[in-house]
Amino acid sequence: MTAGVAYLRRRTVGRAMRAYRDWVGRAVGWWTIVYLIAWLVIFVIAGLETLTPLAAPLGGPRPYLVGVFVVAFMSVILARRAPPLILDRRDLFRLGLAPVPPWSVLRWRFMLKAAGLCAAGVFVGLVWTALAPALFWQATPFAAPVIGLVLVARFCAAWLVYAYRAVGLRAWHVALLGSVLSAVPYGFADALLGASPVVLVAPIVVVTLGVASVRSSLAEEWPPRFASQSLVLTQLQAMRLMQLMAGMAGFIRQAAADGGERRRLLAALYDTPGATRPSRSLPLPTVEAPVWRAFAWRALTHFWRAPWWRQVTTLSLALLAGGLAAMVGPGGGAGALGTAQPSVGALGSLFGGPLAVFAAAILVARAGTALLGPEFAVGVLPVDPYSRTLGRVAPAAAAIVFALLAASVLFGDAAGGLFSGVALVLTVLLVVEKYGSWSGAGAARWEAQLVAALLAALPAFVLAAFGVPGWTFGAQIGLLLVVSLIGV
Amino acid sequence: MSADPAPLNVVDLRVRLAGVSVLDEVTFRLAAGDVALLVGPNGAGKSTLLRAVIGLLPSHGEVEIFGRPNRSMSARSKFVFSPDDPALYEDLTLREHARLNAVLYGRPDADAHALEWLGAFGLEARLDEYPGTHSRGMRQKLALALALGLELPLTILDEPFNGLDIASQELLAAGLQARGAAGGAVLLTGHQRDLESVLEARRLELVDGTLRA
Repeated sequence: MTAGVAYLRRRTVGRAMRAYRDWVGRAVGWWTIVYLIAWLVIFVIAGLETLTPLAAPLGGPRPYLVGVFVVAFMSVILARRAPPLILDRRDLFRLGLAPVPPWSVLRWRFMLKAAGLCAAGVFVGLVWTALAPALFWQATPFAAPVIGLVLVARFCAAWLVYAYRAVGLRAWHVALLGSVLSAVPYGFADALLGASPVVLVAPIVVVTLGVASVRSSLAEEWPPRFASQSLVLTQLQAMRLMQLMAGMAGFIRQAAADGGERRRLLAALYDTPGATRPSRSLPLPTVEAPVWRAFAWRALTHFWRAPWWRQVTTLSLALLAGGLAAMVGPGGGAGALGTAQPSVGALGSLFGGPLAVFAAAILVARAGTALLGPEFAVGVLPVDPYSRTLGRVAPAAAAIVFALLAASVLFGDAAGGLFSGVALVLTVLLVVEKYGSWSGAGAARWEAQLVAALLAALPAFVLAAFGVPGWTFGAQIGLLLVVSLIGV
Repeated sequence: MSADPAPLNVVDLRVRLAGVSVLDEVTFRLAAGDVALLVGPNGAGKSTLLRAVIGLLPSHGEVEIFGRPNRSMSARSKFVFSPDDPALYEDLTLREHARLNAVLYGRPDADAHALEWLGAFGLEARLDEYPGTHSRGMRQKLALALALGLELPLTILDEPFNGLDIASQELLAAGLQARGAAGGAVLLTGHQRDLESVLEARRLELVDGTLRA
C-alpha cells in the first residue's frame, strides 16, 4: 500500500509539474525566463560590487539576533493548537484512512514544506552573508545553511508540539530549548557572526533529531484532532483562495460576505463557542413585518456578528463619511465648512469644489457597502426590488446620516448644508445598492462604488462647469428622486 | 366564463445549453391537487426542466404559473422551489431562516409551519444552530421545511428525498400527499426505486430531454 501512495504522488505530482512547465512555456516562455534570470544575476553582482565596508563596524548585533531566533521559537506556542501541515479532503479520505503508516502519506507534503522553508532560509542567509562583511566586518559563510536548517527545525518543533500535545509535551519546553540553542556559544545566532564551521553542528543535530521525531510521531496513528482540523483548514484555504480570486476580479469585500462562515470555521478549528450557534443575535423581525425590515435585519445581523475590530472600522468609516458629506454638501463647500467659522472655512476651501463632493461620495460608498449586508439574489422570490433596496440601505443610511447630523451640530451647520449632505448620502447609497444588484457584480465592487460616486457628484461637476453652482442642491434632490424611482 | 388557470402549464418547452439540446418539446400540465413525480435516468434533464420551469434558465416555449408568465412577480408569489443541493445562508440559524423566509414571502404563518416541520423532522433542539455544522440530510430537512412551511399553491422540489432517513421520507411523502389533497400542486423529481411505493403520484418520465407519456 505504501508503494501505492508513492505511485499516486509520482503520477499526480509529475503530471502537475508537466502541466506547470507547459503553462509557463506558453504563457511566459522559458527563454524569456532565462533572459530575466541572467539580468537578475548581473544586477545582483553589480549590487554586491557597490557594497563598501563601513568606516567602523556596527557593534553589538548578537543580542538582537538572539532575540529574533527566540521570537521565532516562542511563536511555536501560539501555533500549538492547529497543525502546521494538513491533508486536503481527498487525501484525507483516500490515503489517510488507508492501512499505511501516516508518515508515508504525509511525507511528501512534509518534505515539500521543509524544502520551501529551507530555500527561503538559505536565501535570507545569502543576503546576510553578502551584507555582513560590509556592515559588521565579518565573514559568515555558514549563515545560509544555518538559517535554512533553523527554519526546518522550527517547523519540526511546531509539528511535534501539536502532535504530542495530548501526551504532555508542552510548547514552552520546545520554545525554551530553541531559545537556549540560539543563545549558547556556537549556537544559531553565532552562525551569523562568525566563520567557524562548528556552528553547523547544532542545526544539523536538531534537524536530524527533529525529522526523526516527526517520523516517529506518525508511525502508527494520526494526532487526535488532525483529521477534523485538516478538513476545517482545507475549507478555510479554499475560502481564502476564492476570496483572493474574487479580489483579483474586483470583488474587494468578498471577504466580508463570507465572514460569518469563516468565523464559524475558525471556532470549529479551535473547538470554541460559536462553531455550532451564534454568540450574538439581534431580535428577529416580527412575522407581520414588511419585507424591507427582513433585509434591514439581515444587514444589521451581519454587522452585529462581525468581529469587534471590523465593527469599529466600519463605524469609524461611517462617521468619517458622514462628517465629510456634511462638510462638502452637493455643491462642494456649500455645506458646514463652507459657511462656518473662518478657521473651518479655510478647510472648506481646501476641500471645496466638485472634486470634494466626489471624494465624499466615494467615502460614503465605501462606508455604506460595509453596512449593506450580504448581497441578496432575489432569484425566484416574490420580492420587489424597492423593498430590497430600502431594507439594505436603511442601516447604512441611518449610521452615515447620524454622523452627518453630529458633524453639522459640531460645526454649526446651516439647514441648507445639512439637507444637501443628506441628499448626497442617500443618492450614493441608493445607486451603489441598485447598481450592484442590477449588474450582478455586487455593491462591494469598486466599479459600483465609482459609478455611485460619479453619478452623485455629477450635478456638482456639470453645474460648476456651467457657472451655476447654486442650482446644485435642487439638481441633487431631483437626481435622488429619479434614482429612487428606478426599480432594479 | 373561463376555467381557473392551471397551477403549471408548460407548452413546447425547449432548452439548449452551449449549443446542445437538453430539453425538446416538453409539454405537460399540472392541475390543482396534482402530485407529479418526474423520473428519468441521470442526465435526462430533470433538474434542467425544473429550473427552466421556474425561470432560472433561458428557454423557448411557454411556461405559465396560474396563467401568468413564470418570471412575473405574481407567478413567483404562487410557487416555491427547493433545489437538490440545499441553498442556505451559512451565517443564519435554522430559526432565523424560518423567520426570514416567512417575512420575505409575506406569509406570517409560514414561520410557525416551518418550525412545525423542523420539529417533525427531529430538529427542534437544533433551531438555534448554524446549518453549516449539520449533515446533508439535516440541511435537506431545513430546505424542505422552509418550502413546505410556506404552503404555496405550487411546490416544486428537486430530489427532495435525497439524504433523508426512512422516517423522514415517509413524513415528507405524507406531507406532499396532504398538499395535493388540500388543492396544492406538487412537482418533484426522484429516482429511488421505492419512491413510488410511498408516494402516490402521477408519473412523468423524461428520457434524453423528451417527456414520455
